[in-house]
Amino acid sequence: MNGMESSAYNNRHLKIHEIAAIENQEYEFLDSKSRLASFIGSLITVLIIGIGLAVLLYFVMDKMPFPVPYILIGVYSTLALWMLIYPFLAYKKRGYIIRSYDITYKTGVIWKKVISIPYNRIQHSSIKQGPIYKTLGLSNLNIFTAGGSNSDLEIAGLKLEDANKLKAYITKKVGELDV
Amino acid sequence: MSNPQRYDIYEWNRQSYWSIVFFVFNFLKAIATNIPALIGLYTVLSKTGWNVFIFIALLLGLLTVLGLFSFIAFKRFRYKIEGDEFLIESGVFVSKKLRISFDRIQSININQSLIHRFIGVVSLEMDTAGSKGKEVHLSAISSKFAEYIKGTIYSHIEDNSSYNPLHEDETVTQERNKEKKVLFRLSASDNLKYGLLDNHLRNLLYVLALAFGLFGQINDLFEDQASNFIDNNINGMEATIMANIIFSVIVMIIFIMLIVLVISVGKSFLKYFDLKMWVTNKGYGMIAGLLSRQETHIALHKIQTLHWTTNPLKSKFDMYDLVLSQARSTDNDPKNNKVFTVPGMGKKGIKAILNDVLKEEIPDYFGASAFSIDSSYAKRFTFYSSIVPVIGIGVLSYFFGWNYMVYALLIAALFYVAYTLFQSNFRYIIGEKVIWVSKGVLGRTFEAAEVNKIQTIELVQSPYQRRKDLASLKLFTAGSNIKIPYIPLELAYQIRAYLLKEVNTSNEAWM
Repeated sequence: MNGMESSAYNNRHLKIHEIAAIENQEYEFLDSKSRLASFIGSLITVLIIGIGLAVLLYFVMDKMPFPVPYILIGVYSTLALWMLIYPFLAYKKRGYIIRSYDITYKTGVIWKKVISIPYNRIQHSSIKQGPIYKTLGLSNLNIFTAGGSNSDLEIAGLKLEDANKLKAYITKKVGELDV
Repeated sequence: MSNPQRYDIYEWNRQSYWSIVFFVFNFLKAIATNIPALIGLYTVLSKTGWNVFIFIALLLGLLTVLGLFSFIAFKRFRYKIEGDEFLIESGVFVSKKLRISFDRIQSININQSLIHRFIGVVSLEMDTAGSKGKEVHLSAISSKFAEYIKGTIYSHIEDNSSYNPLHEDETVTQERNKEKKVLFRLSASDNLKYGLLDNHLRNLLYVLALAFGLFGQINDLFEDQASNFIDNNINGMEATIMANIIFSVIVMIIFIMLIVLVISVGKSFLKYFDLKMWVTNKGYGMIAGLLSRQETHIALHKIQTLHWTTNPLKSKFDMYDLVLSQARSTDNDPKNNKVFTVPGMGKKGIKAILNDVLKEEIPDYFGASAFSIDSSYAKRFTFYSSIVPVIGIGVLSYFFGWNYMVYALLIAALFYVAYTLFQSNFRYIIGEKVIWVSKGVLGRTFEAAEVNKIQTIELVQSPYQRRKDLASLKLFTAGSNIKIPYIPLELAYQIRAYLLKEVNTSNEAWM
């Protein structure tokens, strides 16, 4: 792995000031189209729930006690607004770092989460494309470890070719580091 | 293995004659599930002029046929080893042939229920990959023969190196025969003590919650008649009668407590009866149980995390539950996430196991290398946990009177006490090879995980933690996970960098 080392970022932590490297790194953003993709996803959900709520209110609004319909509408509008803004807020907060020994992904608008997985703990990885992603040329990269579903990593909104590149790199790394 | 002259698994073998009993039993079980149908049949037949005697005669005839069937089933049930496969032939009318290749066998378990022990036989089951239940089940064979079959198959698997290394650990059983060094034994009196010192308060709360739930349902059913009855009667009652009622309620609670106690003590007594845990050069084995004896094994290299728990009472008697978490072989399958639990173990035994598995001593949780978590943890978690109940009770109080808010305050206060205790008790040590955690409200849970076993590291920050430069760390292993909440962000970064470096450069296999 000597050739790899020079080309990719080297994360051997030898001295104390070199430690704590992830937080000093520039995260790579996801593809900018991923905003649009999740916005479309949110919009569809918002519309479906909205139609459902409208139908419900049309039939039973009279029978509900006074504040209930307004509470429902209020809750719905807040949620809808949040869901529609969220993709744009989330985009800025998401990113990944590829290093020579591990991969790190950050996500979360309110609660922030940074997940790091060493390559030598990766079981397998997969690429997934939903209908919206397909039309936009995006994809999901899923990375699985033996740590259970909570510890798996999903990078949603990579350009398909980037995801393929990344997957190939990870697979190569997993093979190299496998003990 | 033990007696090759008498036992030859490479030729067809039958089970013990006693297996007829189990065949009959199985047939009866099949009939028993059809009892409603039998009753239905009887009522239909009785209307057409049949009487009960004919029916009984029919039943007797059926039982005779059943005995005959069981005998044929016994005669036709044969098994042997051929090459790398275990063969079974069975079936009364239609002959069934089953071939199980050794590389599909996950584990071989020998069990002995009360009936088995009475007769002096054991049952043998093979867990196979890709099947839900036990594909191979020999209901009654002699224990020596069972051990011989198990040993033979395991040595086959071991000889063939192309097999999945996952099976290695199962050969533990075989080693056991050579070297059965008993590490821990739960005596009958310790077993009783263990049951008695259990957290019965929690069990009582469950029962009371159930009882209150039932009362609520009865109350709803009779449209508040029940509570009206109680209200009316209490209002019109003299103080002495009130005292009587309170007294009887207390007696009742004590009575329920006793029942709960007897049940849980009885349960643990049956489950852990004559528990033995032994060391092999591959891992550990354990056997326990009165009505049915359960044998379990774990291999050292499969152990991902260790934790040991105690409650305030048990710690006085040096009793801990030791749990060894094993790597799950597939996701989302709780059956595969196996844990190896040894109840009532003393600190000495735990030390020995830690020495064996981690090659380390229990550290000093109050020493220089031990860290605690931030004190804001208690306030924040009190806030997070009480917000829903407080708002809920607040809404209710709006309708039913503000005095109900007392309960909300009480709940918040309880949470605050619990979280404060948890926060002040929490200690963690990031050792060179092992991560140690000690935590608990009244009891204690101690966790230990080798750095090398870590799969994924997660660093989480809530908005509050971001303001205060705090973070929580979650360390995932293939067994259980370790959480270190509310530590300084800089420290979390350092720990993460250190752990990543250790895992990244580690050449040791994690499993």
